[in-house]
Amino acid sequence: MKWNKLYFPAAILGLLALSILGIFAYFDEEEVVRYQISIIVDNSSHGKWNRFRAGLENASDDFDVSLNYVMTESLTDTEQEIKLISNEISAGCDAVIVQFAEADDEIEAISDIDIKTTLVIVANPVDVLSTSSSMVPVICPDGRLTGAAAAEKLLENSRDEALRVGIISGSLKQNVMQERLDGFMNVLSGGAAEAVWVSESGIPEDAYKNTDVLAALDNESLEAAVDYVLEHPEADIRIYGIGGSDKTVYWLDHGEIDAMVVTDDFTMAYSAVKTAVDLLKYHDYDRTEKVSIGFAVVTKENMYSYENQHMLFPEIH
Amino acid sequence: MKNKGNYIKRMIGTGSSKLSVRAIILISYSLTFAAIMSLLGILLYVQFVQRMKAQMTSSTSQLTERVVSSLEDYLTGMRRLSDSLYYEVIKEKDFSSENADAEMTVLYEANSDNLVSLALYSHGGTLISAAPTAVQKQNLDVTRESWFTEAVARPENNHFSIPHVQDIFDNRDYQYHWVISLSRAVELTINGRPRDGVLLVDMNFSSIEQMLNEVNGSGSYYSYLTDSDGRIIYHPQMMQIYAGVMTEDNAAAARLEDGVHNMYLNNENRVVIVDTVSYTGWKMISVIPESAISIGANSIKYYILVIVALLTMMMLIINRLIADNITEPLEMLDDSMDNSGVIAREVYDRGSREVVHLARTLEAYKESNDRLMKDIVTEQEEKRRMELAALQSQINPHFLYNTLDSIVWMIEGEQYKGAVSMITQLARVFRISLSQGKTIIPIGDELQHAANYMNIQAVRFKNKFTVIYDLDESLNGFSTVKLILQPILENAIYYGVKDMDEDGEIRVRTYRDNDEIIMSVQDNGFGMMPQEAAHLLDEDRSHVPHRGSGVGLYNVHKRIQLMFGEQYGLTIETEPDMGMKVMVHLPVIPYSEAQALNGREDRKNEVE
Repeated sequence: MKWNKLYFPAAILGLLALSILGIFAYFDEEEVVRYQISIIVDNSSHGKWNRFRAGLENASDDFDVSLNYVMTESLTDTEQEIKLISNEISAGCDAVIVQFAEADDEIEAISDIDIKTTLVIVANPVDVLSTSSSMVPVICPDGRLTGAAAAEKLLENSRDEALRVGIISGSLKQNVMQERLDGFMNVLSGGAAEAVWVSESGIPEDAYKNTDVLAALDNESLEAAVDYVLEHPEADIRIYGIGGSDKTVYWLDHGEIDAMVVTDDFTMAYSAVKTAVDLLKYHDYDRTEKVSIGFAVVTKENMYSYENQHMLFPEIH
Repeated sequence: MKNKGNYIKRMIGTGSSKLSVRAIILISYSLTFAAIMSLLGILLYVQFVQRMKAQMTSSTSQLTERVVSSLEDYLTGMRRLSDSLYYEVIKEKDFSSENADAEMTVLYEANSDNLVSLALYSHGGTLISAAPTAVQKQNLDVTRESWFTEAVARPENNHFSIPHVQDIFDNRDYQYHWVISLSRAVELTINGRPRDGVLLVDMNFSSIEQMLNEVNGSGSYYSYLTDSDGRIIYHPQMMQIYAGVMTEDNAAAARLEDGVHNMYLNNENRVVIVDTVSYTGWKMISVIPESAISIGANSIKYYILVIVALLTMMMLIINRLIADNITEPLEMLDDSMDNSGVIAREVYDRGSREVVHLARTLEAYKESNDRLMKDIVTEQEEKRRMELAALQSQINPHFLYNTLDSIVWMIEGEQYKGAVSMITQLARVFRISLSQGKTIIPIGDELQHAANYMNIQAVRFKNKFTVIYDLDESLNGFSTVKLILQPILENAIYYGVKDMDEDGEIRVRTYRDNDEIIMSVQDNGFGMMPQEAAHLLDEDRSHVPHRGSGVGLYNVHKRIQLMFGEQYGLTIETEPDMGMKVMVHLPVIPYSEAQALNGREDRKNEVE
């Protein structure tokens, strides 16, 4: 009696539910969620982002996401960037990969941003203080290590020569630039070379008179250093720096740049997209984790090595 | 496991089942069907996946072969271009006074999509001719480049490099090109004298890349290209591999023979198809990850799930209808009996053939049972009557009167010893008659009783006859119904030898005949016709000539049959004037075993 009244209808209902679930699963399978990810970086069309862009494109293929590059020329302050982020959120993007180009170690003005939107910070390590309890993932190379690597190469090549080093540090509003400068200065102070001047942007016109080495700690500074040296062919100035644009690679190849630290921007971009997709899909990404991105010290002699050419010339795909 | 088995057994199995027949049929059919359907579903899915895998492998193999063929055509074209440049241009010139720039430029222009540059070097590494026109990098020593050293080392071959960034010419537009270098040793004529040189054809890698990108669009598999040492020439995720975010077992795959292989990488099985590109030894490797096969099979998995669920549901309903159809008559039949097993007056007899048969059998059983009950009652009544008759025969008033009269007569004649003996015999007769109420007694006791009786009768009839005993003493311990010889002996006396002129003779004999014990009483009296004697053991005794004659025989015969069965009892042999022989047929049962019969009889008597 119990079977007739309880189990039999329950079995029929169970099988019916299983059928309906199966039908839904069958049709649901065709639906593929394609996330929209916006990219906000400083001077977005600049050649320094070539390797970064290659990483984004490869990741977008691998994780099946749509990328939207926000065209920028020069990001002058954080408020402007936050406004750009808000615009992207309003336009319906699921995640934003952003470089806070003019921010030091912390920013607070994040409350305007919908905290549900996934945010991944690249290139410049910034801690975002928001009303949300969660942290925003930061993926960028270690500034101190890259700065130190450039100085080590300089000292290695100078062979205890008391060189006068002029430093173009880039904007010290950026946390990463402060770190690079710290790293560079720490190593330099341990050698025979001496920093004779430090400039955030631009090179003193008469620098060639008292400068043996130009140390440029970001790509724009490195390009400026090359331009300066080309303008002063009579001066014997060596160039060390951190960069990676087509122009800097060319002048490295040409011998104008003695050594260049190239950060692995491909991996940085690829990891940023992967992190964003993980956050969107699983919500359980450890947001406190800081992914460390590698770098290579490249010279004219080793730039065509098997490993380095893949880092310097990623346009292959 | 054992508990589970017991549970199932309790639910649907033996003993007092908690489930109805309907539920048992429904559950067992449904579970069986569900199990079969599930098994079929799994088999179908496995079969589908295997077929899909075979189909994907086959189509990917064909595609790989086509790509390899296209690649071979492309590389052959490049080698022909190199041959053409060498044999038709370089061999024809003396480079002391002329160069090959113009011819090279023409060839370059004609193949500009596939070429990055053409260059001719002397053995010392000096650039002789090049196209397109470009400035060579300063301080460049091409003799240390791998494409140069390989060409010099093996001058008989064309050499294909792995992809690399061209670093010969100055690129003032900051443009760098990925190329595959085709190099060969050539013979140059300078001042009429042959000199060694190297011809370099830098093929645009993007041409090969495009060709291979086209086969990597489907998503279910991917193809990549390695040289014979396993170094990657092309891979759709080459940058990811160099960046370390992805791994590929290119080195192991390149060592495989051409054909289809199974490999395991990153916790996943992969079907790997290897095909070698002729001349270069490059390996075209196509990979079908298991995940790609399972993604394709997912839809069929859900499809099969739905079909199995719907079919099972349908079968559940059909099973229910079938179970109802089968069990309803059974339930009605079940209702024909109450819990104590009493069958109703009318038994439900519709439904399937088996149920109808069962109902009719039940009905027949009911009738048979009723009849049997009546028979038992009748039999018990008859047995009671027989016992009463036996007792009555024992206390025959005539016998008692005559015996007591004889005793009185003996006392009056002062024959005290004879009187005492007579009384003693009489007392023994009654003692054995009682036998503590037992129906079955030893044959020895029965013979003793018969002897006592005959001793009394011998006194009464003043030894008108003699009694001869021929007994097998070994049978004394076997069983017999009590008081069966006395009526036979009485019959022999009164209707056999009492009225004879000559001395009568009664012979009592016991012996064993196979599986029977025979006790016979034979007289030499008047006997009777066999036809008449045959009626002595009938219930209807109207044909018996002497009134009263044979009543005792019939009772004895019936009592034996009631106790031991129809095959036992009395048989009579007689002829007129030839006497009569009455034989008692008994089973061979030791008295100790027959005690149980007494007990059963006692209980029956108590109940009654």
